[in-house]
Amino acid sequence: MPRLQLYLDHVDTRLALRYLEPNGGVSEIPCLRLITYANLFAQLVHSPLAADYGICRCFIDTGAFISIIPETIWQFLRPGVVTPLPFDPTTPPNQRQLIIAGGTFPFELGRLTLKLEDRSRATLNLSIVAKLTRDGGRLPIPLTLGLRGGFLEGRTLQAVPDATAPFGQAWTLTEL
Amino acid sequence: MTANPPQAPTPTEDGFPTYPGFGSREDILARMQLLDWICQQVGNRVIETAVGDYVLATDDRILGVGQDAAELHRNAVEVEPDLRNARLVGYRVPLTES
Repeated sequence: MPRLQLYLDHVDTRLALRYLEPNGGVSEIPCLRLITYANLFAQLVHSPLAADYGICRCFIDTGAFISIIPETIWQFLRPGVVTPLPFDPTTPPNQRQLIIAGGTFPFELGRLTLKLEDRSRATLNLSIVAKLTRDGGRLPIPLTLGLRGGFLEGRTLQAVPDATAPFGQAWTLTEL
Repeated sequence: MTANPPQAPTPTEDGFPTYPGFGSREDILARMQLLDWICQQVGNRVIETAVGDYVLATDDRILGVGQDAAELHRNAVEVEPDLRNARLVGYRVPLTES
């Protein structure tokens, strides 16, 4: 049963919200993200710059219903890697664009298979539907995995307390 | 007669690098660790970056920071041609909530 470890990690080690408790103590919530790694080597065009993106650090956004692949990444995908999925003609214009990070970006839907890998060399192939944004390289987000469109179907996403795991929580994505 | 000395493989002009072990499990793990290391350098302010900046690095060494990934890559290999066939990793500084 393929099982992939996911990791909590800082977005920025100095970024944290600190606040005062009613008893006067100071508490802190670090700015963490749930991350995984995608191995794109087999799917990239062969160019020196594309090779820089061979392994991508991805965010897993448990509050997002679908995945997003910014243009900085999909521009290097080989033809045929993504199966275009045209919008149903009834889709209104406002559902064909993504409003995020202070910008509005049109997107197209596509299906592709991502090979996720963890630090202990486990792998898991993920066939997902994603939004591929036409942002001209202006959307500063990594490959972001949302929960629907293929991520969770047939799998469990689990977090359990684990003192040996980063930030005391072991996250796993397991195929059923 | 002596045999030619072994030479490190070089990449084609527009291709992937071909250094020994390229794309192997060890290489993939090293790239993961390099990405994590870049994140630490960004997070600990060892290098100054802005959201959207591209950080180019090779093993334990930041090669450049800027908005134009292609230009950074080109400049790095011009200054240091051996990097054409080295493990280079790029990381774009992401947006955060605060």
